[in-house]
Amino acid sequence: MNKVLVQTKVKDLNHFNEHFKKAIEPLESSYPEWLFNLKLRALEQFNDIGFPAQDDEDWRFTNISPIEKIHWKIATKQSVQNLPEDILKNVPFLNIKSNRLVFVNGFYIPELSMITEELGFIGNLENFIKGDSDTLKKIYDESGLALNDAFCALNMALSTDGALILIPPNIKLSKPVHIVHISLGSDSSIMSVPQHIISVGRHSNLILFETYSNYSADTTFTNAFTRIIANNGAVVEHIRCQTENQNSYNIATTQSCLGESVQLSLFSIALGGKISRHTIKSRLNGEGIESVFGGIYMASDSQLNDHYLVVEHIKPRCISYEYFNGILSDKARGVFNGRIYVHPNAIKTDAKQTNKNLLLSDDAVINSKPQLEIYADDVKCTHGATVGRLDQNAIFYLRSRGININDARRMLIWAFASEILDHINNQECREKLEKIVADWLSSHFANI
Amino acid sequence: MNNGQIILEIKNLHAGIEGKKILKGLNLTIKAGEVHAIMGPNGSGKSTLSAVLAGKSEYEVIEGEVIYMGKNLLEMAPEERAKEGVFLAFQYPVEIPGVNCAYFLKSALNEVRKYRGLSELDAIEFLNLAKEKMKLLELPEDFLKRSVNEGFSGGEKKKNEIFQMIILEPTLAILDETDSGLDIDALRIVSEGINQMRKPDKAQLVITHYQRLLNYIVPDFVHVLANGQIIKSGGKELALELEEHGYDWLTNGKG
Ligand SMILES: Nc1ncnc2c1ncn2[C@@H]1O[C@H](COP(=O)(O)OP(=O)(O)O)[C@@H](O)[C@H]1O
Ligand SMILES: [Mg+2]
Repeated sequence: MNKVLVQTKVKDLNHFNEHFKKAIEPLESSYPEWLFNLKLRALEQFNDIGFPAQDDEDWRFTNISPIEKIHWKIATKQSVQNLPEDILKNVPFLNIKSNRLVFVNGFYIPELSMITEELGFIGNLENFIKGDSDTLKKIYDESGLALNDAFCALNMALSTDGALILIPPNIKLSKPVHIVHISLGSDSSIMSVPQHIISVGRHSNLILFETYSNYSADTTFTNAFTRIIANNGAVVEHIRCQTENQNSYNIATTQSCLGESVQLSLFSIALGGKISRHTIKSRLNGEGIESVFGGIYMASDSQLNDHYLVVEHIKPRCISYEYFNGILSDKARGVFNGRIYVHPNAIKTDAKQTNKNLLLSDDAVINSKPQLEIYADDVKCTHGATVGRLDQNAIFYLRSRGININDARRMLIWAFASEILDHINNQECREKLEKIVADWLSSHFANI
Repeated sequence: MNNGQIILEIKNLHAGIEGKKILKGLNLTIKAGEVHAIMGPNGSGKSTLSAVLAGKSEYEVIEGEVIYMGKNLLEMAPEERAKEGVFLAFQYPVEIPGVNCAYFLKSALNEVRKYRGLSELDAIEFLNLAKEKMKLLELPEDFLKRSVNEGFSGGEKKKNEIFQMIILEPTLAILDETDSGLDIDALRIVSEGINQMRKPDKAQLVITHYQRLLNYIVPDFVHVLANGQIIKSGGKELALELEEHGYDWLTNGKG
């Protein structure tokens, strides 16, 4: 039995492999050798590990076979010629003033982008690869690239473009940077592989938005990989908002590597996708780091939304607080894996994790798995997960004051979501998110 | 509305919860301008009565009817009852984390106003109104920003109920043990709030275990609830008799 399964898997992968290899080969002439070799290695790695199966503990509750079954075409530059005029129509945060980098199907669209910042580099990866390859190599090395995840390996192998943001030391940008990603479907099923790299210099300050949306209702697959390096004393607020359509697949990894005294706030708001997974890995690699990881996932119909979080405390006296709230209705499934790993040196670690879930129907499911692994003494670590339904007594209380039943429900769900949004410092963005969440609630839960 | 018009008429009400019969043939008529007190030992069904009147769905009405202002109250959804002017000050007010008092009460008030054909209040108008009433109840400055009842002291919770009542201006206010857990100062403040709502076109049903509250809110009628029925009715002096003799005086006499 097992053997047959394994063989089918290899056969399937071969199909991908051929297609993928063809996509990489033409890059050989224009790419620096180290990077081309890295891509080949990444593809090999992907071929070795294959798409994760459910016996893989990290993917136990997220069955990605629907993604595997589709014969994806890697997005090409042709797919972003002659873009529709209203291509930005579904993009969140658009009217917050920002340095905007727009990507469609993983490719940079300069005509839609707006960069007013002159210090450092805010642009795209593709041209940089052909230019200053040494700088890029240094950043790749610093970012502690890990390719043991199939989707990261695949992204590394195939991606040719994405955002590159290099902020020199001691700079406070006047505006946030917004990485816009739009998936634009076509007749065949399109896979986009944007890869973003962000390096924030010592004591610099960056507010970063990263948004994923679709132009239409087409089925698309976005496999995104974002790496953030925050050097000593940097202050970074990163807000990722995924509002893709319900036919799409969005699998993404955000890796961050933090230096001494860095302050990081990272938020993941995930509302879209048929299957979506956001892996967040953060290495607290300097003393005195203060980090907050927050997330809201809201899923309805048969959506599957997965957050996988690993925070590694490597050095002493770091703080990490994690708050993830999920709202699930209909037959939706939520998955939350949160792992705090405290290395032996990381004394005086202060880590706290909560995952709260609100189930709005009998068929909605949550698999929540908080984990603490502590190998240091003198640490303060707590975690907790809750699953609940709307408080009927609270609903009755609101109704007894004249508030209609649906408004009462929305008020309570809203309160549950805003617990997380309240942690967001950037006021404009928080207000936008409040609106996004409220709109989502009224369109999805009009009649709950 | 004239003094003397019937606001609430409860006829032979039988109600219970989870298969347990609690009210067993309760009759009560309340007219405009009147204040009625219901007294009774713990577990006699006082909160059950208030829950049935407010429309809590877990409670089952087995028999009887409740007419409010000429309409069948039991057919209305809880929010409809509120909009029609029924208000219950809960014995145990519910904590609602994440919903602040201002947002909650402004939403409620505007729902009620809309229903009554009045214009909705904007944020500033609401704030002015709320602040004025907060002073009356000696509520702290930051009160409106706090989540509804979350982390409130017992006294603050009860004050919040009365605060909401004063803002919503109900026709029929049902006050379920609003005095319990209040110190003497809070009791005075809360009572003043309740008395302020005593008007010719409104009525109050004050539910209490102790006579103490009735020193501050002087009722027109006092009823004793025991075993799911009103076993004795009288004027305000009945409360004093009860205080003196205890409930056993009546229940024993009957049983
Ligand atoms: N949810 C419930 N399930 C079963 N019995 C209940 C429930 N709530 C109240 N009761 C019972 O009903 C009776 C009346 O309760 P209640 O109306 O709260 O009395 P009071 O307010 O007069 O103290 C009590 O015996 C109580 O134990
Ligand atoms: Mg009671």
